[in-house]
Amino acid sequence: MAPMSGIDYSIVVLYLIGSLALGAFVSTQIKGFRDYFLAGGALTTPLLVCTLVSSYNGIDITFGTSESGFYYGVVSWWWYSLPYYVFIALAAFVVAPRLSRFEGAMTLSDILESAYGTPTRVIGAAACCIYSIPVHSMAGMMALAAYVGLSPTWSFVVAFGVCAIYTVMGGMWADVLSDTVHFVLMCVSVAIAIPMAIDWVGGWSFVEHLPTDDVTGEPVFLQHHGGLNPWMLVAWATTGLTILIEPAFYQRVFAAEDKRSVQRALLVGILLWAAYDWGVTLIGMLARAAVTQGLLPDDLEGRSALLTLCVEMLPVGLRGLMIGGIVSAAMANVDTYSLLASANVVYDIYRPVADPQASDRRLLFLTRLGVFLVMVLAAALSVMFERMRDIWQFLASIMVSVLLVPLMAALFARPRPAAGLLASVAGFAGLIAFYGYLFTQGQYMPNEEVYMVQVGPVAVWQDYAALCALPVSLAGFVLGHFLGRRGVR
Amino acid sequence: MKLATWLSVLALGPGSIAIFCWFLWDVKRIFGGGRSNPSTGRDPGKPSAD
Repeated sequence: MAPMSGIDYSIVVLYLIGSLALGAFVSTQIKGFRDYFLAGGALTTPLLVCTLVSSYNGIDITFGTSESGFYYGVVSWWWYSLPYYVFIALAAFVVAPRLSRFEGAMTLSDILESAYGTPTRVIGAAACCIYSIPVHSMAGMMALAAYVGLSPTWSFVVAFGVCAIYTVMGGMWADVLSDTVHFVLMCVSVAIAIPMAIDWVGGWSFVEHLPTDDVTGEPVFLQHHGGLNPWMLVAWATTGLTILIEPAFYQRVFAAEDKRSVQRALLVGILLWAAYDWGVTLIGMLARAAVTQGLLPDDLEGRSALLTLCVEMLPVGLRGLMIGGIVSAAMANVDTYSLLASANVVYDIYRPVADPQASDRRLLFLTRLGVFLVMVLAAALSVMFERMRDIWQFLASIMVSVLLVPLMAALFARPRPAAGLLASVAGFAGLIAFYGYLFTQGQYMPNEEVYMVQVGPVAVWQDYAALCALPVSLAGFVLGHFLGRRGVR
Repeated sequence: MKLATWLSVLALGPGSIAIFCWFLWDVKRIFGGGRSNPSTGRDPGKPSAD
C-alpha cells in the first residue's frame, strides 16, 4: 500500500481541529433541550441539503454500496439505491405535510404516543435507539484506520474523541454545521476519485474485465438485475422503506424552518444521493476489474474495495482529501445517530416513564452524557459484524418490522391504541422467529456470504427478513384494531 | 454508463460546491440575526410560541 505523507496527515488533522472549534463555538448558543436536539427549528434549505445528504450517505453507504458494486455490479444501484429515491420523494410530498398534524412533536416516538399511548412510544423508541447506534460507521472507521497504516486503537480514539466532543458540546447545530463541511468533502473527494480511478484501471475497457455469468456468459455486472432472482431484488428494494421511518429524516423535518424547505432539500438531495451512490458503485466495480487485471490483490474484500483502490491510485494530497472525505462520512453518521439514540433513551423513554417532571436542564445534561455513551457502545458492537451490508440490513429490518405499520397508520388513519402496540410486538416477534428459524435450520452460503433456508420449493435468504416480518406486523395491527378499545387522540 | 458517470461527477463536484456557497450566503442571515438566531430559531421580531 502507498504510504500516507505528512501533507495527507496535515489535511486530516486540520479538519479534526476545525470540527472541535465549531463544537466549542456552537455550544455557547445552546439554551435548552430543543436548541440542542432540533437546532431551535431554524434549519434552512441549503443546511438541510447538506445535513440530509451527508448524514444519510454515511460510511455505511460509502463502503456498503461500493461493496455491493464490487460483488454484484450495477444491480446494487438499480435495486438497492434507486428505490430509496422513490421513497424519499414519497416522504417529501406525502409524509412531511402530514407531520403538521402533530404539533409540538420532536421525535418519531412523540407521534406514536399521540396515536397509541406510552407503551407503543417506548417500544418505538427502543427500536429507533437500536437502529441509531452507529455500529456501521464505527466498523468502517476500523477498516479505514487499518488501511492507512495507523494504529486502529489510537486513530479510533482521536477521530471519535473529536466527534464526541463537538457533538456533546453543540448538539444538532454542531451536527448540521459540521455536516456542511462533511458534505463538500465527501462529494468532492468522490468526484475527483471517479475519473482518476477509471484512468488507473485502463479506461472504459475495464468493463471487459468484470465477471460474467458462469453458465450463460452474460455480463451480469452490467445488467440492472445482476442475474439475481426477483425476490432478492424485491428484498433489496424493500430496504428503501426505511426512509419512511428514518429517525434522522423526522428530526430534520421537525428542525426545519418550514415544510417547503424540507421538500426542496429532499428534491435536491435525491440528485446528489443518486450521483454519490452511482459514483461509489462504479468505484466498487472498478476495484473488481482491477483485481481481475492483477492491479489489486486477489484476496481483496468488498468492504475494503473503495478504500484500497483510492489509496493505491491517488497522489499525495488527494489521498488525504479522500481519507478526510471518508472520515467525514463516518463522522456525519456518528454525530447524527448518536444524538438520536441518546434522545431516544432520555427524551422518549426516561422522561415519560421515570421522570415526567424532569427539567429542561436535566434532559440536556442526560442527552449529552448519552451521546458519549452511545459512541462507546457502538465501538464495542462494531466488531460483531463481518459485512457492512449485514449490519445495515439487520438494523433496517428491526425498524421496518416494528415501526412501519404503526407509524404509517398513525399518520394516515385513526387506529385504536392496541393496534399500534400489537403491530410493533408482532413485527418484532416475526423478525426474531425469522432469524431463529434461518440460523438453526438454514445453511451458510459461502459464495453469497449469507444464510439461506429452503422452505419447500422456495429459497429464503437472510435478505428477506423485513419482507417476512412485515406481514406479521400487519396482522398484529389488524387484530389490535378490531379487538382493541377506542382511544382518545 | 459514461453519461451517468460524468453527470455524477458534475453533480458531486461543482454541484456540491454550489450548494455549499448557497449555505454560506444563507448562514450569514442566520448568524447575522436577519431571519432567526441559532439558539431559538425564531424570527427576532416574532413573539415566542412557548
